[in-house]
Formats: sequence, structure tokens, C-alpha cells
Amino acid sequence: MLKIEHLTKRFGEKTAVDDLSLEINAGEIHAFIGRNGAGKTTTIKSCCGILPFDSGEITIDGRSVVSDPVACKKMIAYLPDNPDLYEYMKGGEYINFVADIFGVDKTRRTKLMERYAEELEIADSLGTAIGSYSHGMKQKVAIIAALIHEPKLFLMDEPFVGLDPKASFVLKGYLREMCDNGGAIFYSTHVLDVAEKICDRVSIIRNGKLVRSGSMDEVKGDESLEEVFLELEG
Amino acid sequence: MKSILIKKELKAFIRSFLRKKDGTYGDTKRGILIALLFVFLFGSLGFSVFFMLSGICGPIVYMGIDWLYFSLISIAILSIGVIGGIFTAYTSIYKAKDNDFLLSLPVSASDIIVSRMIGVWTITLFFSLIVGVPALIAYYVNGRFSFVLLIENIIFILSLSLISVTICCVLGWVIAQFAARVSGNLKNAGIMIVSILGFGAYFLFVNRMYDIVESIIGNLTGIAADFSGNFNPLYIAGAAGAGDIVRLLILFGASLILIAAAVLLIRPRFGALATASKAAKAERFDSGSVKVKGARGALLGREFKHLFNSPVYLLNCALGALMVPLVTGILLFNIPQEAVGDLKAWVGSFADETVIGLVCSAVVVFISSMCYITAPSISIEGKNFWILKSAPINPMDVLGAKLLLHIIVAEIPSVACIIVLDMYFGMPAVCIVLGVLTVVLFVIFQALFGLCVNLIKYNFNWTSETFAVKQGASVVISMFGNMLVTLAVFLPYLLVVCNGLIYQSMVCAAALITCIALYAWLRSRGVARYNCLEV
Repeated sequence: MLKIEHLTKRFGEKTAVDDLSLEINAGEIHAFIGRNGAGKTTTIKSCCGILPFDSGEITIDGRSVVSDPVACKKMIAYLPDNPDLYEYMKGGEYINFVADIFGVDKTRRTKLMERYAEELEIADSLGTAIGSYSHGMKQKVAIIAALIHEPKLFLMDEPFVGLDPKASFVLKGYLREMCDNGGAIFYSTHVLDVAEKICDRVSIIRNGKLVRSGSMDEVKGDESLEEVFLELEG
Repeated sequence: MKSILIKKELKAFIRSFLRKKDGTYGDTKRGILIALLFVFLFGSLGFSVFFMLSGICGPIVYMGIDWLYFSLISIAILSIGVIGGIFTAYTSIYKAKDNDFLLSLPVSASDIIVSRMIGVWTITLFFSLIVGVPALIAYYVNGRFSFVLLIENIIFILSLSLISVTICCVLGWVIAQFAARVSGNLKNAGIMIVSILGFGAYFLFVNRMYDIVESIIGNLTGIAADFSGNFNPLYIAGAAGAGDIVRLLILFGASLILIAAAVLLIRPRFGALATASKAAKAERFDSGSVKVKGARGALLGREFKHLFNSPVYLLNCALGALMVPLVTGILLFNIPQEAVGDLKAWVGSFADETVIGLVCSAVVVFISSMCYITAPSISIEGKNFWILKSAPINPMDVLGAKLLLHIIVAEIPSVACIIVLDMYFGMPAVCIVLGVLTVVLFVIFQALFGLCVNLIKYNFNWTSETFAVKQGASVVISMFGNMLVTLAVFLPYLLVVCNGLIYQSMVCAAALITCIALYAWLRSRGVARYNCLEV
């Protein structure tokens, strides 16, 4: 579903992501683990077409993010770590704006919005301006907007930060449901426990380079990564 | 801590003009360009202020009541300072995005308020100087000059700018009190109505300015008698400006005391007011009312929603759309229908009467250049830019929506006004058609120019929308660039004095070619720049 080949991204003199290659398959929840500043967000933003990169290739379902960005973006949803949304819109208006952009028909969007809003317990506030929302409420609206067009690939940056336990549980359910329907999830985290519980595969990034990729058991069993795990757990 | 906060405010102000893409400063070329723009601003506005005030200054100096001149310019400086700074005060004190963060730090509310006030002061000082500098030059030319007087006058202007800040901050506090008590839509509507009434009063004043000046000159002794008196603040301010050192110290001391009093007034409810918008009554969303749109429709709808939900954006960048009919109304009011014949006959003595149509187009185009909606439209996306960048939309659709918003808002009143003006002055049909074409093309040019400049000079790192819509380099370049282009296109007529229709046709052709060139740049290099923008 998502194929990253030799991705390199520099910010001035600093190389944020260095020759990173990775593949995420359909039906897979893939955690991207690393310390703060390791290059997780840069990689995810590059996959979404938000950040241009210096070299390498990223393809989604065989299409290049660089040469065919609109087709790629139609298949993905992105959830940032800090959901800065349009504060001049109501929550419901924002979700509808995203649905308009993705061309979701009225019946489908209404059904999905009502379902997600009830389950995430934000239905009573969708008629209120986003400017008055808490961080968690914005996160919930961003999740609904991301899922409203039923993406094939869901890219998330620290998705569980700021969510209450109930909403985290509901989101995990959505992720599993999406994968069962043939979708793929690629999300970043610096918390090992979160990754261990829900993911099928993990990749570890350190100083912009991919250190290891595989199933959780394979990666955890790799004794050479002891120092990396100590960093993440410590 | 206070000095760190002040440094941060000043840095944000300077960054909005001089910051380069890589975040560094110190580019000499950039500094020179910005300085030239400011010289143009000061020059164009300063000349008219200088000539108007010279007319008052001469008789006052002749009568030996110099203090009255400074009393009058004190009123002008305070007025323009307050008009220029009131909404900056409200937004930068109460609506700054980093208020929550600063309130969480071990920083006193007074320190936050003072640092914000410094930011507002940069604006009021700027406006004070627009009137103050030509006013002082008029006095030095018509009255007297000495180095000591110059120093005293610097303190005089400084004191008045500080009093302007105080008034702005107190009025900002009143707006914040109002905003905290009413819902979002009512709040925006209230702010806009008050602002439009304020601008209406301002233009009424400008319209009657020459009558006021004449009545002042005709009644100098009477006004002097009204203002005089040792405890009259206007007399104190006037005497301070005229070089009375004791009264200058009183004025300066009073300005500092007023600032301190304003801080004391604002401080008690600062935290509550700065976070007031966070509390809102929860409401369910009515899904049934949703109208499904295509991507382009959604983007245009989003642009409209942003403009009309942000009083700062609307009042600063779309003001030209309101001013075009206002100025048209003033013109029609001041030139009665009976005088049109005389005007035509006078114009006919040196050119053909269609020149009137050309002048009408120039006026409408010049005023519409004060509508610069596209100029901050990229910067204003701020931290939300990720939404557009991650959406499956063509960059030209995003840029097109921004252009269309500007064109719709500015074009409708401009076209209506040029038709009304041309018909009022009895211009032939071909002149009306050319007038409409000129206005349409120039508004499109203004929209394109603003957007192109903002793609080059964008700034996503602002803490208050005011920085993006009021102080960004792209806004200054677009607004004055548009004015300069208008003057550069229409003024050469005075050198050639040919048939008005021929000249206007040439203007249209030039505008059309420029619009095509700008649009071509936008589609190629503009889109490439858009794709490289990083939040």
C-alpha cells in the first residue's frame, strides 16, 4: 500500500531523514517508533505530500506522491500530532468541508459523521465553533474528518496523545476495522507500550535512519537494539 | 522576564517585515525595499498633510499663538493613532495565540500586558509619525526651528503616541468585555458595525476637512480662548509642543501615568478575558442543513467563511470594497448635477470630455487598491496549512479560490460605482464599457499581485492574525505597490493629453497583458512555490 524508497529529507545542513526505505502492506497496522526528533513526523508528512523531500520515492498503491499527488491524497487520511483546525468553522462544518473536498455523498457522510460523533462522544458539540474546543475535542473532530472519506491508508502522528481513554479505545477499534477491510495504518509513536498492544509490525527510526523493521516479537528479540529500547522506555 | 517578552513582541513585529525564508534577518536589499516603501507611504501622505497644515500654521504663527497649532495637531495625532491601533490592541492583547502559554508561565499579567502594549505602540507610533512629521516640518517652515525644539518635539510626539496606546488599550479592553459576553456571530457583527460606524465618522470628517480647516482659520482667536487655561489638557499639550519645558514634562509624565493606569485597569480581568472564547455553549450540528459542494465550491465557501468570521481580516483587507462606494458617494455629493455641465466645459477647453471617464476609472481603481484580500491569504493559513497540503486538490484550485474571493468582494462595488459615476457625468456608452473593463482588469491585477507577493513573502509563524493581515511585508508591498501602479499608469496622461478613450484603451491593454503574465507566473512558478511551502 505504502512504499518508501531511499527517502532523504534535509532541513538546511541537518538531515532529518536519511535514505529510509519502508513498506506498509494492506491490512497492516504499522507503528513507527523513535525518540523525539528522530524523523518520524518528517517521514509521515513527506508521505502525505505536505513536505517536499530531497531524494527517494514514495508510492501509494503504486502511484507516486510526487508525480501524482492528487490521486495519492485521495487514498490517504492524515492525522497530525497537534490538530490545528479552522477555528472559524463549527466542528460539523469542518467535517463537511473535508467531505466536500473528497467528494463524499450526503447520505454516506451523514451516516458516518453521526456514527463516529456518537461513539467519540462529541455529537453534542459539533454545532459549536472549533475555536472553543479543547485539544481532545479537536483531535476527535480531526479523526472524524480523516475517516469520513473511508481512506485506504491512514497516516497518524502520535494519534493517542490528548485523547481520553474511552476515545483511545474507540480509535483502536476503528483502526482494526479499517485493516480488516483491507486498509493500512502507519502511525508514529515514541511510547513502546502503545505500539506493542495494537500493531502488526513496527519500524524503529533513530537519527533519521531506519534501524529495524519487522514484527514486534522479531524487533524486541533483537538484542542489538537493547540500547534503542532503553532510550524509548527511559 | 518583562524584557524577554518585549523582545519577543518586537522580534515578531520586525520578523513580519524582514524575515527571510530560512528564518534569518539582516538582508540589506530587503531592508532597503521596505524602507523605500515606507518613504513612499510617508511621502504621499505626508505631502497632503504638510500642505493642509501649512495653511493653518501660517496664520497661527502670525498671531503669535503657536501653542494652538500644537493643540490642533495633538488632536489629529491622537485620532489617527487610535484609529490605527484600536483593533491591534484588542487582537494582540486578548486574541494572541500564545496567551494560554504565557499565562501558564511564572509571568505576571502586568508583564504580558506591558509587552503586548509595546507591540501596539509600534503601530500607534507609526500612525502618529504620519501626521506628526509633516506637521512639525510645516511648523519649522512657517514658524521657527532650533535643535532644542526638535528634541522637545520628539518627546512631544512620543508622549502623544503613548497616550494613543493608552486609549487603544482601554477601548480594546471595552471590546474584549463586550466580546466575552456575547456569542461568536453577534460579537463579530457588533465589532464590524462599530468599526464601520467609526470609519463612516472618519470619512465624514475627511469629507468636511477643508470646511473644518477654513472655519478654524476664520475663528482662531475664539478657539484659542476655548482651549486656553492652565489646566486644559489641549492647552498643556499645545504649549508642550511649542517648547514650554514645564508643560512638556507634565505631558510626558501624564502619558506614563496613563499607561500605568491602563495596565492597572486591564490587569484584574486579563486572564478571564484572554481565555473567554474558550468557553462556549455546546450545540449539536444540524446535518440536514448541509449543502454538498464540489471541491472548488468548498474552497471558495471556506475563504468566504474565514473573511466574514474574522473582523481583523475583513476590516483591514476588504475595507477598499466599502470605501469605493463611500468615496463615490462623497464625489457625487460634492459635485452637484448642475456643476457637471461646467466641469465638462472646463475639461473640454483642454481635452475631450471622456477624460472625465478616465479620471473616474483612476479614482475607483486607486481606492480599490485598498482592498488587498489576497495579500495575506497564504500567510493567514498559518498552522492550518497542513489541511490544504494534505487534501487531494490541485494547488491552482486553492489559489483560484483566494483570487475569486478577492475578485467577488472587490469587483461588485467597483463595477457598480464606475457605472454610476460614468452615467452621472454623462459619459458615452463606449466610455462606460471601457471604464468597466478597466476596473475589472485592475481588480483582477490587484488580486493576482497580492497573491503572487504573498507566495513569495509568506509568514506562517504569527501569534495573532493581526500580524498576518496588518503587518506582513506582502500586505505593505501589495497595497502600496497597487497604488504606485495606479499612479504610474494614469498620471502619464497629464504628459500626453490625448483622447481619453484612446488612453483608456491603452491602459486596458496594458492591464490585460500584465494580468495574463501574472496568471501565467502563478500557474507555473506560483504553484511550484506553493508546493514547497512548509509550515
